Amino acid sequence: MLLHGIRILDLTYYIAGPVGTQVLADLGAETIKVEGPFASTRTQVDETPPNGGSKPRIVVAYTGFNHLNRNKRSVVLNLASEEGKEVFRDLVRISDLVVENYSLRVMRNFGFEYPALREINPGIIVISMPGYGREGPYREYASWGETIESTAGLTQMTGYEDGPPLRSAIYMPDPFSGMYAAMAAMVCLNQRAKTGEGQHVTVSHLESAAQLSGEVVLDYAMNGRNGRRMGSRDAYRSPHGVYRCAGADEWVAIDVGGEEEWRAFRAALGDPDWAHEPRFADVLSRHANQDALDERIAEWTRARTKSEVTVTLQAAGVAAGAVQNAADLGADAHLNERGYFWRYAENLDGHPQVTFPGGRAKYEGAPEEVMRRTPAFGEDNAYVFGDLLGYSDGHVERLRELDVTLDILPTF
Amino acid sequence: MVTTAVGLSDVRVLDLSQDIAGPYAAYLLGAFGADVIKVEPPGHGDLTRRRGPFADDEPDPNRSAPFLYLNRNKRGVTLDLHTSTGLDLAQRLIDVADVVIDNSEPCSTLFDTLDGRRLRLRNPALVVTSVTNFGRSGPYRRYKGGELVLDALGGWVFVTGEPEREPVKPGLFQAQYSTGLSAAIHAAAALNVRQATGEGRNIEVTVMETAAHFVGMGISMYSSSGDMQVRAGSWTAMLRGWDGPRSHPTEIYECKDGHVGVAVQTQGQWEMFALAVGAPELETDPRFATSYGERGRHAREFNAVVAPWFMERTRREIFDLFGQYRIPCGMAYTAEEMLDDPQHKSVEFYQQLEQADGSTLPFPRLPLHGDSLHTRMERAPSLGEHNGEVYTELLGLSRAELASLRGAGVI
Repeated sequence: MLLHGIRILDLTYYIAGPVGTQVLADLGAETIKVEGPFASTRTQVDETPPNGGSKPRIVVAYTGFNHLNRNKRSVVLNLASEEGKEVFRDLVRISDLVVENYSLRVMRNFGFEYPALREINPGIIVISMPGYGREGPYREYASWGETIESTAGLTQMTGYEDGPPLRSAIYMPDPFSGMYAAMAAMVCLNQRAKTGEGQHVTVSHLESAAQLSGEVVLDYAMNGRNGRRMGSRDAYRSPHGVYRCAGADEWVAIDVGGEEEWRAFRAALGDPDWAHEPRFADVLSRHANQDALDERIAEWTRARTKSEVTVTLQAAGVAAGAVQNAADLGADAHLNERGYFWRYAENLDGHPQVTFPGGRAKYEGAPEEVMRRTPAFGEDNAYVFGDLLGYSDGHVERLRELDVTLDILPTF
Repeated sequence: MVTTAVGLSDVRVLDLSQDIAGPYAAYLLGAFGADVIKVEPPGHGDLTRRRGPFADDEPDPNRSAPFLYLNRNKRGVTLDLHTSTGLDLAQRLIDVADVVIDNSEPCSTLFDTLDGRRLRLRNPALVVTSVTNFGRSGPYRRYKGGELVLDALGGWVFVTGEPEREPVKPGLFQAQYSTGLSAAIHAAAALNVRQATGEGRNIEVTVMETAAHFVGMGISMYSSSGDMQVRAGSWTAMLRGWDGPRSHPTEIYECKDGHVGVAVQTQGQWEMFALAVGAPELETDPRFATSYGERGRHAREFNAVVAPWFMERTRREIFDLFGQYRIPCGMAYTAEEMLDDPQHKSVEFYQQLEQADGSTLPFPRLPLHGDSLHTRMERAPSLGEHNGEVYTELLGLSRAELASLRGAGVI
């Protein structure tokens, strides 16, 4: 594994930070989640009230947490206490990276800003992930991926032509800035191997997400034009859209490029007369008449299943793909044959089996299955205090008595 | 003076890829200091050079916005890999490279030639990074697809859009950019290992699998509980069979001069939101005041109550007010507005870069800040701009040899 022998102290929560450390943990880095005594990193308000019970409750280890925190370990440490800080300093001494996605004030209040950590371990690499970075007028503002994606110019470019700006549904700035944090970790490790020195890198979520809209900014600078929402359409070619298929909420995406593909597409549809009409004769006329074109195509797709359309068109050399939902993905022949999914025989929340995407890259020596299940709260306390730090039983007992650490999740 | 190599400045990358994901990976390695040599077919070059928008809306291979964006920090050479002379020169370039980035699909005639196992028989220290749509194996390996089809098969399109309407493509080319970022991460990780062991790696990253990672929590949830995430507009996650989101307000609201995105996800943020907006129903009406779930179930009624408050205010007023209350908020920005944003201006996020045609264009810096982090930003090369220096200085060809290659159309 590519990061074997690297140890990470993971102070991240929610999505962005955990995605970043997930990338590193999947590559074999020993990733230790440092959790506060209130377990706020692994709980959330019940997701189910709309049609279920009306009383909010705290659910433990919800599904997203299980997916994001595989291959990590868990130690419980109250960093607000002096004794907890001392344990953390001991951990910094024997670690390579600290990754955190708190707002700016938290590490400051703990007394764990970079200069303090560097004094303990000059080789330590610290990656911070505040929403807006460390400087500038927004630096203390709160944010989520859901709000960053608007300011980064992504929601203006997503949605129906006749509708308002639309969110990505997947908190896109979170995984993207998480991956940028992993990128920063790699570059810092590379440099440390040459210089022996660690460093501190701050990842801005807003600036990460704004990498995705760079082409739109160039278009404005070049042509004075602001990009616009086009639904699933393309600025230059048609057909390029999502079409209804047989069944409820079943759809297929079709993207026809140049003339050669258009002829192949036409043939795959059985060379219907309408496809020979002059208004569909070339790229420009197809684009100008795409409303009529899309109607014709939808008549054809509506009578077929999404997989039938995909197979027929791809066999003809036309780009097409079923709009897959979570059930389709889990059963997808391609992903399964490539060993994309990892599985737990039993999940933390008691469900019998869970399937989720595995590592993000294939390489020689990559694990073919998940190495460690997502840890229970404090599951690795004994490993961290005993094996890693060499604390005596008495020492650990004292930490327990002082509520610096807990072995079981507190009840709410 | 002895200088220590910083970042990736001791690394040479041969970028044989085209389109978005592969070039973005090579751009990133270049941004951290690697010497990136981009190889393009003579004549029209990388197919992105034919993709708009173009400067002044006039198609020109040296003035394509996506090309100029994705190919910063590279030297550009042309080389016809479909000739034996071209392939021989490519091998000589590979011999002086540490990383090869290639996006040949299994249907390409170059697929076997550029296979990582083959390249690493000759040079085991090489890091060969394959960046493809569907991968080098599996039943879809010969499938065709652009961003739309990859987002669809990867599961991202299904969850994007309004519940009552058709699913819609996420804007721009986000899955392909993410794939490039993932490729760069893994190539850099392989370089770290190589420093210690001298051994390279074959790395494979695909766009469909990267897109499916975005909906990984949904896949995990479905397999565990049978609950399926469905389209919820700009609400937070909604499951099949539900009549509202799991919590509220997470929404894009229309306001006086456009739209703002709001996401209230903690009790503290909810209390601040109720205080900032100040509508009395938010504190008294049990549909809104009692719980996340109740607000989610009555999201439409909730929006009707708060809509006038938003319509009376501008994005900037709401953003700064919510900023002070620590309520997460975003302004639905156009390109023009991003360029003008005070946060970006204060950190000089968009940097002006002079292009080959003499024009100056704004590009975002890397989103990473650190006193010891060495990064760079140089404009993308014109087609074949560095043929002379790469082929003569790096490979030691004579001017006469260069002229004959040019005459034969190999470069």
